[in-house]
Amino acid sequence: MNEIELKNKLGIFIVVSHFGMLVLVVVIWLLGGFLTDEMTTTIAIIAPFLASYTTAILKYIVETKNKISARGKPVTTIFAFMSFCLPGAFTLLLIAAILLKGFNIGLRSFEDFKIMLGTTETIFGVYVGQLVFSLFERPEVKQPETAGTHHDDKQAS
Amino acid sequence: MDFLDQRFAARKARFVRDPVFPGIVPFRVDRLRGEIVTDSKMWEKIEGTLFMNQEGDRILLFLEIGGQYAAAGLGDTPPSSDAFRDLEPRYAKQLAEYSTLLLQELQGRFTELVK
Repeated sequence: MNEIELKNKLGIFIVVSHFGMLVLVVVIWLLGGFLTDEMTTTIAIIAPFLASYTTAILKYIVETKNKISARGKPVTTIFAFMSFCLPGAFTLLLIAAILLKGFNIGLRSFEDFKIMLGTTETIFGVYVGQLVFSLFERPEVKQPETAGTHHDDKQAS
Repeated sequence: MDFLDQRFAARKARFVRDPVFPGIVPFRVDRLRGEIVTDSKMWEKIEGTLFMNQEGDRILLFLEIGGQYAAAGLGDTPPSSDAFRDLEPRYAKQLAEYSTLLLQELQGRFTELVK
């Protein structure tokens, strides 16, 4: 597998997982598995988990929209496997947590459910980020300007 | 009280009464679904006290009632107790209507017994 092929497949997988999970939460809410405020809180917690990856992937898709026959460098099998394995496990755990709360099995209170989501993000967030951002450009986060910044700049010059 | 026991058993709920003094009957009902908020299948719990006071040939009934609700869930397992929240103020109207209905049923039952 080459890098472009891996990027395209992984990109589609993460974007579909991201929006699929949000749809799953809404469907479970419609079926009575969540109260309305539980549903909105769950979306507010889950949406940012994959949002930074989705943003980087969508930026890449937009930037390469005309590169039809692009060829990338070959990647090792282990890298390709891990690129799918870690985001896949992360997504599966989040889906499992949503379903367990929906059926009141194991995670029978909303507080337990929120702790489970947070723990999953803590375990996988760093690893998935490392893999995804080695392929896709990390989106820039603008830092708010502080009053002291300009003063320090002037002093430095 | 057998009337309440049978009434809630028919709904697969659990009715527990805890008599303190004659004429004062605190009770709890859990594992209820869509009993108070009837347009949903939410899990519900009720806690109430029935006061019975005899005045001459009349028996006066007073019913004090409160309750909690939780998401219906996709299966038959109720959520843990900390997942429940108070029915009031959100479902105060439904709770008031339900307590009136329950009290009317109890009055009807007492009238039958007196006859």
